Amino acid sequence: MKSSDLDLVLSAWPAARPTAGFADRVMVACAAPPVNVRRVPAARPRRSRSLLAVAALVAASVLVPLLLQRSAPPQALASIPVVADLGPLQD
Amino acid sequence: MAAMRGEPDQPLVDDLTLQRAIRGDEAAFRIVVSRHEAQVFALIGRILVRSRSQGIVEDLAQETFVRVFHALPSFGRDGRWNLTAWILTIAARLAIDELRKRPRQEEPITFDQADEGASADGDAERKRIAAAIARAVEGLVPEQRAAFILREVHGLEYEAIAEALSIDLGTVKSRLWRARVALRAALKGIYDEK
Repeated sequence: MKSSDLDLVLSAWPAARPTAGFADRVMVACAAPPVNVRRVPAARPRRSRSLLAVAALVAASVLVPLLLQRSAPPQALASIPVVADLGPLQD
Repeated sequence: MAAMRGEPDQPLVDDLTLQRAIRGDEAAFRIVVSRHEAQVFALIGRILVRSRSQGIVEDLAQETFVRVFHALPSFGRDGRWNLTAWILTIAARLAIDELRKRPRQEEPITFDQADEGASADGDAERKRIAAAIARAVEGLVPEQRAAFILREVHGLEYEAIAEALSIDLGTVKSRLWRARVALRAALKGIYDEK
């Protein structure tokens, strides 16, 4: 088969054609972030809310007993036995 | 610039537009797309042959240009400035990957919607030739198909094909030789009548 014959034959081979608006769709796709890149989750407010909730729980579990202890009468101190006064130290 | 069969050896995109596109100018990139979209669609459609639903061809064509867009800033750094060959290389690789993912289809090849511009007289003949070419091309492994189409339809140089398919020059030539033999055999009946 000569080269010119091949050209003739290949000219009969139909080609797929671009659809209308293809370039517009390409431009939109190009503006989007690359598909293969693992995206950072955009749900940051949720994460910070949950972190705040945990922090508040921890704070509450530490502070509430402390506050309750302060407001209570100093029974703990009163219950400590008084050591007898031995007077001034001697040389 | 690759010489396309039957077309003048001139770039499809002028240097100024190309430089603007490389710098990220969207209007310039749109020109790059519009000047190459027909070739990209034709190449992908022909490599896929029977698997070439318009949706798949369009998806791969779009993926080709998205990759071109993201890689364009580094275009030419290796000293090669053949934009068309570069774009067709990306398209060919995507089409070959797609072909490998798909099982071989067994239904007969027809080209009922082929070549809308053909005259009524020549239409049946053209469909017969087109189906014969498709049968011959489908008998080739994906890389052979791609090499044949890149060379015989899009006129890429042997070196560009070797680079596109990551094979050496000798392999390109042997694949092209086998593809031509297969095509000649497939078209034998048609050619004997002429």
